[in-house]
Amino acid sequence: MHGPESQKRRALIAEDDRVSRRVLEVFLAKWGYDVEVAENGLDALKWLEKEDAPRLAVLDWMMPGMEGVQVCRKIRAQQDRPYIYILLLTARSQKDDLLAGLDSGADDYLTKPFDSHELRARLHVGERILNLQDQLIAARDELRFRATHDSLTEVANRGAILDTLRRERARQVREGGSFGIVLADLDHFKDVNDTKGHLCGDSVLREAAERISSSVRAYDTVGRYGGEEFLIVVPSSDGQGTLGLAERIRSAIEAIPVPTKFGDVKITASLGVAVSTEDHALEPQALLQLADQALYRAKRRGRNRSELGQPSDLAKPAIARLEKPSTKCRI
Amino acid sequence: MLNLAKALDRVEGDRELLCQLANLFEEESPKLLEGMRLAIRNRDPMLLARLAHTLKGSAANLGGEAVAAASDDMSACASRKDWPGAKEQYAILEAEMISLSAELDSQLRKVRTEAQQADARP
Repeated sequence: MHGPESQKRRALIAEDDRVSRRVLEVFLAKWGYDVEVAENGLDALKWLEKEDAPRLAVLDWMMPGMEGVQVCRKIRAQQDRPYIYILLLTARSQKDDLLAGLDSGADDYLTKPFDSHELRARLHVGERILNLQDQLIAARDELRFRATHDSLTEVANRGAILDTLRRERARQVREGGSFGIVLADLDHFKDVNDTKGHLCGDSVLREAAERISSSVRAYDTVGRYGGEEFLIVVPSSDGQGTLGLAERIRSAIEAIPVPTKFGDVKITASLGVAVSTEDHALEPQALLQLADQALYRAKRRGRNRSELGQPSDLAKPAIARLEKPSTKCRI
Repeated sequence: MLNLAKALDRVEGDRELLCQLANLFEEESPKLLEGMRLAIRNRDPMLLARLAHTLKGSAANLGGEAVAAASDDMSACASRKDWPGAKEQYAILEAEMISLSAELDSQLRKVRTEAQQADARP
């Protein structure tokens, strides 16, 4: 009778006869349902089309405004919404009626006058089906999240952030404007792993991701691009704006040491910034290359700093950075 | 004949509820009957069928089996568009309704008294 969270399940009764309606209202309330009532087919449809519609419906067949079977058909035609379990309750008792009722999309069919025990049992069947669907939806949502997010830091994973970058470039092609990217690489991260172990390194990465996420705007996207490297896609931003954001991230990362089980760890990051503007539009590959070069410059100039890539930098050959070869420009 | 025992059983012995239902029926069913009369006069088979269906379900809640059966017959007339048949059926239905009304009145008086006595018991 109750959903997984022990909340009352909401149910809609659609019935034009006051006597039948009263019986249903009393019983459903007695059985623990949170009852909504419609007196005709059009109101029933309105209830069931709401965003937070009740997911159990007991519909009379013959109602003014719209027949119960027509309400069924319309609800079933609407895709992409949580399933509504529909029970047709009717005084029509011919076999053809039963078949027509089920054909219209009703899940079950009861003739009036109904037996209360039978109605209750059939409503329970409906609940089982709805609970099953809820579980499936939860499982699907979790799978979807896992497929697009980094399991350690919960920011977007590499595939997803590159998709975001491609989409942002496509939007720029359609609509103009400018956007930027920031490549943020934690300084001396290998040392953290070597001296304090990988579990400590994991804590540091999680905290760094958290600090980056807190520093960006709602419509920026943060992704884990490599081992200790993050890529941030920054829509509607020019060179100075994106560099400003990079600086905010840099400060947030440096601000306080990361508290871990293995002691406090001081961390800093080097950041490379690149922008694609209307005057100097860049494809994702080139943008990443530019940001990578700017990042390398930041490392070379002492780390814990942000550098903005200049379009002229792209004329220069891509240089491998000190820590590891640059394999990151492939998309 | 009114099958009150069945009706009481259907509301799981709730006499109070049964009395409420009877009152609602007394208020609503004349309107249904009048609607049917107009539907027959205007030769509207869909309206007639819907009202007959409603009355059938309504009466069944109270054990009014004769009225339910007569309503069913009226539905059949509606789907056949048998207007002479519908007129005859209307007379039958009207008579059954008067009968049901009288029975509800007397039987429920009994039920109300029983309910009061049940409340009065320590």
